[in-house]
Amino acid sequence: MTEPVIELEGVEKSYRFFQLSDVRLRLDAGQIMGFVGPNGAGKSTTIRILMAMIGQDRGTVRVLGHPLPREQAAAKRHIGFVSEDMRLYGPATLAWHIRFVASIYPGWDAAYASALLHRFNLHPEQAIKLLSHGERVKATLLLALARRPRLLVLDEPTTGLDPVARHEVLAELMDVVRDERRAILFSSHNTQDIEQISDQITFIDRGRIIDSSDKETFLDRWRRLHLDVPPGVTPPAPDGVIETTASGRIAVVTTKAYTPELDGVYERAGVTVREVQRMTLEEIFVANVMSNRREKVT
Amino acid sequence: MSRSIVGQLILKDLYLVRWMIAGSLVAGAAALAIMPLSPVSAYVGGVSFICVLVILNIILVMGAVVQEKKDKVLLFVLSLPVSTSQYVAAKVLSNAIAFVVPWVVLTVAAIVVIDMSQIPNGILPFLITVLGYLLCYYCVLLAVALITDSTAWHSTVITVGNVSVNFLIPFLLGLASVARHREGPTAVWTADIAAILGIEIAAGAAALGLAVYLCSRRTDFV
Amino acid sequence: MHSELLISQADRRPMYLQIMEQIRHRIAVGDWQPGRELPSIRALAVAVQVSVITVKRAYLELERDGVIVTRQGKGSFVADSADLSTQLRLNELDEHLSAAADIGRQLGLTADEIGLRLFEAAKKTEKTRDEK
Repeated sequence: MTEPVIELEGVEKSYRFFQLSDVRLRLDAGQIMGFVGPNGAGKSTTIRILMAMIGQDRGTVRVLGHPLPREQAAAKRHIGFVSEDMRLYGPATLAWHIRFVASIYPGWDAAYASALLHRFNLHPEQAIKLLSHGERVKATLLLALARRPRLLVLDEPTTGLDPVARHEVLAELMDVVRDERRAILFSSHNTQDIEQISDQITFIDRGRIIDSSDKETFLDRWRRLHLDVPPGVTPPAPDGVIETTASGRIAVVTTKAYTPELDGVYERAGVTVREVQRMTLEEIFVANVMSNRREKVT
Repeated sequence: MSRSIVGQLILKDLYLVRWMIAGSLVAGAAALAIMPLSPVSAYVGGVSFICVLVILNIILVMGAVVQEKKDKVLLFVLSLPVSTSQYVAAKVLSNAIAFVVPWVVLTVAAIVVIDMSQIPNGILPFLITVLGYLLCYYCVLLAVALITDSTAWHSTVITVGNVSVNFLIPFLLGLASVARHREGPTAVWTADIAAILGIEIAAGAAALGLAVYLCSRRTDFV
Repeated sequence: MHSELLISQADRRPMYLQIMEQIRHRIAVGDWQPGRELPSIRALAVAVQVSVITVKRAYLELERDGVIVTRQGKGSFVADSADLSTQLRLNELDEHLSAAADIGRQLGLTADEIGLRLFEAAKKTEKTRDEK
């Protein structure tokens, strides 16, 4: 069993108004992990901890086998990092940035960089400050991708991109895991992107990991059941049911542990299961967060 | 590892401020050029000369250190294979080179100009002490910018630094040793001048040393 | 080369099912012959721009259904079955009928009523074929 690419265990970080608690995260080679959470949940903090830009208060951080923050320079030799709030040097050109990064990474693939310039429609002699938002994001991605890193860490890589640019970026990201020794961790609000290309998905809210599993399991286990409830009958609340909303003779049940047997449980209690609906990742995400917050209150 | 990352970062920083360095050399040279022409121009040239170095100081530190943090270019640099202590070392060294090189060039040029013109050489200890103060000021401002992100602190140091130069000059001119020898044809280095120079160097070094020490203990860079 | 497969986001069915269906259809119409090697899981994932785990699942289910065969270290191949084509199309028919039955049930129709409507539909296609 090869070593995981990212391994966080019991990571904690305290700020005045925010705590990151007991963060556990594991990413294996060949996989893409989508990191999902509301604003302020701690995605960026977690990502910066695994990039050693922030030091954890407690817990272990290992990236590509290197403990962080001690061996951060060694780890970053094999990482490409793009963050939505990251900037390049405004007055300098993209070509200058390419020369600069290429001189630092021996694995720089100049042919691939040229191909990406073309694909992303970027002009290397243009100063960075003159680029539009989308062009700047693509330029920063180019600088990360062309060094062919073993690990790509992306904080909101497609935010603010038009659909065509998003499509181009996703295509390049998928190309990375053609090599099963490489891996990607990316955080996004765009649950559609996450749903499409992630192998593993981790949900974070208010500084805590609230769920982490492979995508197919999430999509398989979460369901909305539409029930017809005859008067006088109370629908049962089996294990795994997150929420039951009833009004009159209709009830909607959200469950995170669906099996076909569940239909039988309701039928036997006199409730008709009218429809069993799959949920999109966005719906799963919202339901997961909401139920987690309710639990914290009670 | 072909070339050290610290070296690469230093070269990168110097490239980005190349026009500031060039500009300060040109402006400083111009200020020196007008000094020998007349007593008035000597005064104007002298003040301008000092201003050039003060301005260079401020725009280097504010531009290269503070702006990089504010603009989140810091994130780009920290994503490179560099440890945070290497980053700080590169920042200190590149900034030091960016300021010290023009400072040395202009100081030597000033000495040469004064020596070759009819401006009395006796003024040199005073001038060197003022220039030494500017170097010390630079070290302190760089140290403060490395230690804290607070613009309040930066503004305070800049204000105090600029204002204090205005007090330093009459103070130095009022020193007995300076007043006695400054119209003379030779530079006379007295003990009190030497002491002041010693304090300037020590203070500058201590400030930078403190900054490097505090930064090396820092774990959060963003 | 492999971009013949396309995942639709408007299609609410799970992505792995869409992939399975399209592969089955390729085989059913004879484009992919028995014994032909399938693209590697990663290569297909990249071509379709879908996570590797989804393609892996599609391949696993197809193997379970006997549509493809995976040989350790060699890759996946279309199964060598003489009547595979017909079997696949019958599978396809069953899936369509299942979906139709679902709709019927949502409308509140009984199994007999659904069967009746199917009979009508079948008679109609017979007629159009006779007219050709």
